Amino acid sequence: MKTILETKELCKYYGSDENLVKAVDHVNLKIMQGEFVSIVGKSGSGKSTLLHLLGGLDNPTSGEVWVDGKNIADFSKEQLAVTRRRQIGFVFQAFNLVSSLNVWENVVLPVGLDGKKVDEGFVKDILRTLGLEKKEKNLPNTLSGGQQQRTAIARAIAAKPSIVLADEPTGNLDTGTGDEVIALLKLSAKKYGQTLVVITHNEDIAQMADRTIVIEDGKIVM
Amino acid sequence: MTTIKNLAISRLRFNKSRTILTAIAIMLTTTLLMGVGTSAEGILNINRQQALFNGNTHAMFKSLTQEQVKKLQNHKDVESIEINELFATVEYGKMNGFLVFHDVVKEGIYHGVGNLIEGHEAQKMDEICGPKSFFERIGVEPVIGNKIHISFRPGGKGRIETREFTICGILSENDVPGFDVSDTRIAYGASVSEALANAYIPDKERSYNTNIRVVGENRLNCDEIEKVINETAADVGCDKVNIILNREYLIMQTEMGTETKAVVAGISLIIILFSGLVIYSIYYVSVITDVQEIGKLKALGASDRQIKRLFLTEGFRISFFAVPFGLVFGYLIPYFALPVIFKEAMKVNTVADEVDRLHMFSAPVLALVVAAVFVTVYLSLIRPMKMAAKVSPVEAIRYQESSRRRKMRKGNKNVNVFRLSAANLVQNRRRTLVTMLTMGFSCVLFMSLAGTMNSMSTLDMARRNIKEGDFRLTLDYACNDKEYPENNLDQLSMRNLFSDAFVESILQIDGVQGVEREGGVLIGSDFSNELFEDGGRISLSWFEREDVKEYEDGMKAGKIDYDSMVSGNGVILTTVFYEMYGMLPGTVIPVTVYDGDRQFTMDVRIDAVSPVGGDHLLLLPREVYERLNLQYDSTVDLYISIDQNKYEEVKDALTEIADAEAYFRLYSMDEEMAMGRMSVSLIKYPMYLVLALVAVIGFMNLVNTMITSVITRKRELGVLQAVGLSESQLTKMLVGEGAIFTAGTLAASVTIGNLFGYLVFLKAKSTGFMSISRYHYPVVETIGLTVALILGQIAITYFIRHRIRKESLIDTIRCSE
Repeated sequence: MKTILETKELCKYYGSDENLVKAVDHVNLKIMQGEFVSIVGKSGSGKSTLLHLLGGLDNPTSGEVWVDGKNIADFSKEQLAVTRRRQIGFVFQAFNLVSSLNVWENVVLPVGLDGKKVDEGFVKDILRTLGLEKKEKNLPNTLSGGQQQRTAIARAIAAKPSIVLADEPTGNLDTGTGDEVIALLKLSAKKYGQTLVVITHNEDIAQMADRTIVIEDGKIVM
Repeated sequence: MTTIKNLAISRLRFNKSRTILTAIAIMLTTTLLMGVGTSAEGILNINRQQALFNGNTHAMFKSLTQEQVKKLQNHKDVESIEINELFATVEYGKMNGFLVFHDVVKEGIYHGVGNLIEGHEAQKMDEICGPKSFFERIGVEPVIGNKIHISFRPGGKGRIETREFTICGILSENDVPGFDVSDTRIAYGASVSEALANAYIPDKERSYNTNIRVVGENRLNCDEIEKVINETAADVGCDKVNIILNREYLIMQTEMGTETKAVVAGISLIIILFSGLVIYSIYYVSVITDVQEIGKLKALGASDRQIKRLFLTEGFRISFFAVPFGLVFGYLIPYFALPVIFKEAMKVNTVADEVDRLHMFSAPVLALVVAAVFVTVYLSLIRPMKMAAKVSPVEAIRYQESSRRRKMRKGNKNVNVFRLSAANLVQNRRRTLVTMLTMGFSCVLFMSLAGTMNSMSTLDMARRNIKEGDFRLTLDYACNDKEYPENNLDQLSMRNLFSDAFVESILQIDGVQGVEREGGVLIGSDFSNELFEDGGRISLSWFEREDVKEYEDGMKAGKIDYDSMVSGNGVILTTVFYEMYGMLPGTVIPVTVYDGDRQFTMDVRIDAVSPVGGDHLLLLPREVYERLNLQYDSTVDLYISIDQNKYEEVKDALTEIADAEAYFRLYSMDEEMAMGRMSVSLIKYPMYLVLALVAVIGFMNLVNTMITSVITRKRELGVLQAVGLSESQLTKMLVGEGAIFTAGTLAASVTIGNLFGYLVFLKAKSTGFMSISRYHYPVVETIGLTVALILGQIAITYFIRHRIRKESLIDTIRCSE
């Protein structure tokens, strides 16, 4: 199996001198294609920062991130944007849907930004799987938290990315809905052969993963 | 109270961009009001100086008889009287000279020029008193005691007499105008003694132009004084058309009339309304974007009143900071600009004189402006404050714009960048609309004024003397010279001065491209009115089918139907006094045409009255004029068009031709334009300054909306980037949003703006403002506005994009978490 995500001596520091915070500190990590990895750690341990660095949302202080065999530091901003919309799907804790677009439009947004024609059958299939088929025309503010998170997941997988990065996707949800969302993510990953990296506080979710990475003070401890 | 104050201050610091924008808008409003107030004060001041300098006459009654002057002398309302009688015209080459008899009947009137600076007034028959330039023009050194021979025609119509005079006094005069104007455009006058006037003009033929002052200048306002003057004129039997009010002086010296007050109040109200709308829109957008924040405060226990006070404190805090800057700029701009403008004007003005230091500062204006700005800020805050106070804590925390109104969106199967922009604007449609309206309003104001200003055309003014081409060589003819009939047009036409050979010789001048002729012929009539009295004659010319529009534009009565005029000998009458002359549309007038030594009769029918100017009182359709088969060439004007590169050479050649023939007069485009420019520049440039400020304030509004729109959507924009929106797509999206604002604004300005512009033009035309006669579409202004809007909007977009770029993506996404 090939390595899809890799970090080499990855560091992200904030502040300087006494105020220096090492959010991510010399992290070396390899994630294989199709793998389900959970990242756990205390609040402030650097999990989210690591995920953002993996997805190219943040710039490292030093070190490298390799996506599908390419160092993203070599990418132009434009190439990075293209990589994000084609290869990476994000699920944020706070959903982050675009309020002026309806559910369908939110979901097909990355495809549209890529200038590609929407595979309607595929999107409908995702929406059906996620139980959103009747909410296509709803604006985000009319949805419940669970529905919004499911829309965000649909958006993350609609462009058939090879990697899905999810930052506490169940953090804002009740236990039942949370389990449901994780099950869906896993299902999708399996169905489309995607790599899944999930940050979570939830022990049960962590145990569902193929591998769990524990982070403490910016370092991988396990 | 301190908590609210502290909160307000920290909010101002936190929302830095918004604070700066609001401050700039308030500052510009203050600048605008202060600038207008200060300019008004300055213009009033210069006019007052000018009016005082020009003299303190209230009015002039023209053409009074000795009887009427006597009546005036005994009139209870008349304080001072001074009479002037045109005694004779001076016959000295082409000199535009005249002799007057001047007398003070009741003391109290003074003048800016024409005052005795040396010697004494003319008392004896052979004495003359005048300005130095008069004597110099005749070639005599202006020294008291010098002898001078002058040929003159008493009353401008008698036989030419030549007498020897002794210079007895020197009168003050204006400096020779600073721009090159041909000598024939300058009038030279001198005064002679009563004895001389009595010797030449019989008592019953005396006609005096009488300057008067009425009693009560200190207690009556302008309108009331005007009433007294009119009543006095009626009492002595002076016709209304013969009253010339010294309006500049009356307006400056008396209490402002109600009409003037209304105009000033109207302009101020428009400015206040406009600035209020802009400030309102800025706060309106702030409240909408601040709802969550307000909700949090309310959830923490802030009362409605405290929320209102929070906004009010913010508004006033910014005002305290911004108003002083505005006051300083508003004072300084006219302080430096006005003198420059006046100086320019004085260079070309033939009457203006050295003006003392301008006094522009006025404490009442300052106080009024400060009050007006604070009231404006308060008024524009009322609704946003109410909206803020109404926000409920729960709703606020959940708040997303338009959440109550819209649940569903039809949407599109595919999403692209343009649809993304459109979705945002539609979602925030109220904000979009308010911005478009205020932007639109400022542009409408801009376009309305631009239309009128553009119609204040120098060219139009110049074209009144030179209808086409670059030069006009005209025949200086008389209609009714009984003593010297050779001066009359009928006799002159027999001399064939504008012969084909002559016109050919003009065409031969290097640089001349074409010559157009215009004809005119004298007519007399038995029709009973002042014009034809005692064998009086007027001139008749032609107009063409393509001129109809122009005459229709200025039409006062009747109708122009070219074909029916051709078949029925219809004429256009070009005087406003058509009622006085009894020449109403429909009247048929039997006329005698004086074609050299030949005469014939015909009937003409008055079809329309259109006083658009020109030398001829009646105009026939060209076909009819040609059918008259005149025996002699009736050309009175040659319009000469030339190659602009040879202007000076042609002008020299034409001047030489004009100088060689006593009856020729030359008008040249450069001189006419110079005179037009002076009158236009006085009004046009200050108005452009006001317009520029209006445009800037309106633009601030667009900046505000776009920046707020981006700041509040920062996270959303971050998310869009996270899911793959590239930088170029982001730019495209922002440009798209701006383009929609720009398009909306432009649509409003070119439709409503031009419509209003045309209405303002019509109003200006009907009131005779700056002699505007023709509407000129403001092409340059429209293009300028379009370019400025597009460039400005692109600049804002790049500025915003630059700001977003500075932060890392994740910071943008996190910003409101």
